Amino acid sequence: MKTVSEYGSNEFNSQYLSQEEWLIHIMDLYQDKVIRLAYTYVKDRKLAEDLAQEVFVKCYVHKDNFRNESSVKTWVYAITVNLCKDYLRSGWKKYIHVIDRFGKSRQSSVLTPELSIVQKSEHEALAEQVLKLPLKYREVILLYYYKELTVSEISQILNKKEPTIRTILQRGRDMLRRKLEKGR
Amino acid sequence: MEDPLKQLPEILNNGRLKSIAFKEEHRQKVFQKTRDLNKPPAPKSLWYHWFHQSLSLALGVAFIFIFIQFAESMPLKMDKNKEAENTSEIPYVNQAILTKARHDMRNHHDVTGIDAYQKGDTLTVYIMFPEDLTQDEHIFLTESYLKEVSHLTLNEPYAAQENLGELWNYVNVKVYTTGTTDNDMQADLLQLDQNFEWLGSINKHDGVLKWERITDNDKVQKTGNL
Repeated sequence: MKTVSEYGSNEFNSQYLSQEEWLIHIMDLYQDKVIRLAYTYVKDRKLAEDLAQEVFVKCYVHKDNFRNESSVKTWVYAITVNLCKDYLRSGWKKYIHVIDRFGKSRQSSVLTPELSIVQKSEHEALAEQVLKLPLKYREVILLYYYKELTVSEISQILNKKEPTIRTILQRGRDMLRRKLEKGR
Repeated sequence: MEDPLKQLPEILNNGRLKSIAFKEEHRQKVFQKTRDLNKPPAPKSLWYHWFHQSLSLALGVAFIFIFIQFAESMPLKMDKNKEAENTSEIPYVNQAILTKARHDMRNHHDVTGIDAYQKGDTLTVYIMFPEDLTQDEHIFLTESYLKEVSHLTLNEPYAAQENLGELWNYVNVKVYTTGTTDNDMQADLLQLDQNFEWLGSINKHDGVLKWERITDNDKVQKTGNL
């Protein structure tokens, strides 16, 4: 079986691969990116793990629907974003999520002892404020700065027009700046 | 001044999201899920088949039953309404009227026995006359009886109906008469064909009392307007 490095690129031609091989490559390329993106939405490690698994199962099931109109990366991120938003919209899941977080907040914490020391650092403050932004601004900021996607790619993923993305991005930045200044 | 957000990947990946990773166990779960998707559905148990078929059968029978009930409900109602309309059109000669007429016949005309009942649109009368009366007297007394019954039944004046009464437009009449008997009246009623000599009948469409002898083969027919 070929490995990702043999393709020499993040993108690869799926037509030469079996469905399972294709899934392995997708996971090799995007597994950590997907789970971390999912975490920025749900802010819970366990949920992020479950959602990331769902993302790859969905990729596997809908592989034939991918039409090369966008990059594989954009397609995988779009599935991730939609799944996370579906989860956040679901009332029952929201309830379970709150209960679960309430009970397991200590277990789910991603803060290591070292991190807690630098928690008050500027960088950590920035990360904290970004994750505290309203979802509408948070997702655009994270896709743009954290995932380093272009405005065009973000507009494809979020199914919004590019000027709208730019506006949200600008407002998100302003909101973040105000919050950071306030925190000083 | 550099945009601090540009450091966001480094900040998050080395900070909060450092320990967030997709592990081997998660990969295995994904493979397991994809394998499960390709699995053929597990065969259903016998109990499931039995239950499913029973439920389908019960629902089918219930549906057919409800459908039949529904289909029958409309014509049945129409039939009932028709029957009710017909019944309401037939004047009812009640027992009190018949009793009054019977008493009058027995007390004023010495009729030996008389009985009558109405079933549907037919009034049936059995009359036994004394031996000494002639056939013409039998007919006269029978007509008197029927006129009285008809008169009592109607609300309108008897004379306005030409002494006939509208009753005969709605009711058929059969009058069985005989001129002699020492037997008990009820015993005779049980053997109508053998013991009654004459049958007078009014068809509701023509209102004419017609007589015929019913005791021998040579039937004699007489006709008279009531």
